[in-house]
Amino acid sequence: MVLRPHVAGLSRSRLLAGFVFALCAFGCLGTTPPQRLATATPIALVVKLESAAGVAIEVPARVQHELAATLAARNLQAEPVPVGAIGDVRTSQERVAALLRATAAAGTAPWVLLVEARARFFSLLSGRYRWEVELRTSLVPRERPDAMQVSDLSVAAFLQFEHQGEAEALDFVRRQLIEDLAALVDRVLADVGAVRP
Amino acid sequence: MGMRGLICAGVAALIATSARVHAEPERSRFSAGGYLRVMTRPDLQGGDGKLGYWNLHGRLLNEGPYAALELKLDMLPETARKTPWTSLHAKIEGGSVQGASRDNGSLASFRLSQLYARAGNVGLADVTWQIGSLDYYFGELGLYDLRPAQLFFETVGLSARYRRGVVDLLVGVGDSGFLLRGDKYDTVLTGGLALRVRVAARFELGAGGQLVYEPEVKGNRFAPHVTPGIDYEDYVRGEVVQRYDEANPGRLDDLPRPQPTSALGWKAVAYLGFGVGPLKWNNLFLKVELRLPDQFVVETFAERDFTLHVAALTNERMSVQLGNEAQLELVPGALDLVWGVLIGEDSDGDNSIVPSDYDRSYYSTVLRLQTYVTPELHLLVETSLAREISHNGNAYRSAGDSVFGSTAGLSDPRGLEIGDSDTRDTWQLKLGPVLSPLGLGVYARPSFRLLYGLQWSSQINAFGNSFVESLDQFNQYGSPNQRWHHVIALEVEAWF
Repeated sequence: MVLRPHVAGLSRSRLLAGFVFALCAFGCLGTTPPQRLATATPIALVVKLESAAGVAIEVPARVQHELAATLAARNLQAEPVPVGAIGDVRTSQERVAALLRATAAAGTAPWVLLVEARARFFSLLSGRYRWEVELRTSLVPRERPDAMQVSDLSVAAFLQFEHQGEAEALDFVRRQLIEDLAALVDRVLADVGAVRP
Repeated sequence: MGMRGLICAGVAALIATSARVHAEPERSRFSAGGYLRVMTRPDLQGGDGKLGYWNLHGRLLNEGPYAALELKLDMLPETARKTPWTSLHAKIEGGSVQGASRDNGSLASFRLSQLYARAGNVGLADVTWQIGSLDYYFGELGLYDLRPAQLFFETVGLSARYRRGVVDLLVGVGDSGFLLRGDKYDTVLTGGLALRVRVAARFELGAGGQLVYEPEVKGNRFAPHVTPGIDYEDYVRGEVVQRYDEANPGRLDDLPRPQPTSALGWKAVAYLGFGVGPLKWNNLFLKVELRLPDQFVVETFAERDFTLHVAALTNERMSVQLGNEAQLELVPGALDLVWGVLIGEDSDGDNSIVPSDYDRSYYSTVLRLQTYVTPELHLLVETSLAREISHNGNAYRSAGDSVFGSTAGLSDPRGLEIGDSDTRDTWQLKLGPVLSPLGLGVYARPSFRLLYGLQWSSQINAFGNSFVESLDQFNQYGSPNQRWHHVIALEVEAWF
């Protein structure tokens, strides 16, 4: 008896087409639409990045931009506040309070968002510089500071080069930061009756 | 200031330090990270699942499974600049996974490869002390998974690393005996340094070196010795004692006694890293090394074991390696390219008669293109071209009927050459889709890959296999004569 490979009813070209289709389908997987306020609403935004030793580091522009874009998708217009506005205070509560005070004069943003990031070097691990980035996102309604919502996240960044540091580590984990922020904001907006498009 | 004043100042400093409160969430002082790669590569041509022999053709499809886990305990976390901190590290790693390798995940394949403690700003500001494993490297060639500019890989000892501004200086001392000599341990004193200077934001230089010295110790059978009067060819053939007996019948007890000596090796490395425009980064490494000589071999003759010390026959092994890897962003967000080149020259001044990995040249280039259909769906194409040249005659079989023992290409049962060619040329192609949940980047991980690999080699069956290669007429299996090799791989690689 001669054994022959046989795929019933499927030609090679159809198999290939099915494979390509599956790949494209994966690449086009949809995501849940964000909660969205009915009207554009300003939100004061501060992002503070520190080294393990507490030294302030400049936040990469791409991170700032993507945070603003995430908020914009929810009809929240980010109003960047200089990080100096929160001064030298070191706890999250003090920083939020300082941010509320600093933006009170402007007064138009009913929401305040503080993103804190601290990156510390772990080790050179199998060819990658492993960093650990601790993230805390605090979303505060100006009129009800006691209703502050906080999300904590700890993620690892894997950098390729010695010269890369805290800023690159934050940039590396920005996707996780964005998703965490999006989940937090959606949760809060759902409570205030925002709608999904 | 008297002693009491110093104590008061110290206590005040401690209180001030502990009173610093940070905004970050409370976190565990224990953390763990690691690396893994695991794959299945059914091989319908009799191979073991690897496309070719080794990383010279690029690490992709040429490496097996691997896992590493590093544990870290921040005993005293860094909380402010120039304040003391300390951490403990342990790394366990190995290349075995159940169902993906021959030893099926055996823990015997894993090892505690690194164990060390670090402390910073203790005694000297901006200095990090490290005791334990000292492994250090300037960077790596990611395409090859090689680290040419690596120091202290074998060393356990003490290092001090000063980092301030653009200067990064490491000085280390220790003992490399256990890793270099294993169960034949002998002290191998090691000392060296590495200096990295960041000349500009995207331009840095580095250089370093290490000396390894194995001292003369009379009476220690694992210390370097020389057995006088050994002919190199007799040593290669394992016939030193036989020849002695032929020349001196009945006088085996008079075989020359080993003479104690010392041994020396060294390594010098250099590094240049820079980035400009679409060139995200370029790593250039150079290594020149004189290897430490071997210890001894044991020959059995007339039902007796004879130990022959071969330090004098293996102390001229030089290795030069030059590697470069360039990462380019050809079309931002759409197409990236990584190009690697590796050149190696190994020479053994003692050996001019037998092909050896210590006496060869190799040249390789690997080019990887990765394009992004979506941020999470990439297409990868990699190709490599490599040439390996044996300095001491034939080392490769380019035909199924070429003989194993030869001299100058002619059949010779006592010939020290192998096969019919002193050159092996290899070309590889790898391509397929890559799923990258974390988005763009050739080195973005985790990556889930479905790859097809194709190899052509001037050597037949140039991949790990289980063929019966005998030319014996009673070989029941026969030997295939394959230059082309195909592999399909489903694999994942991640750091965590």
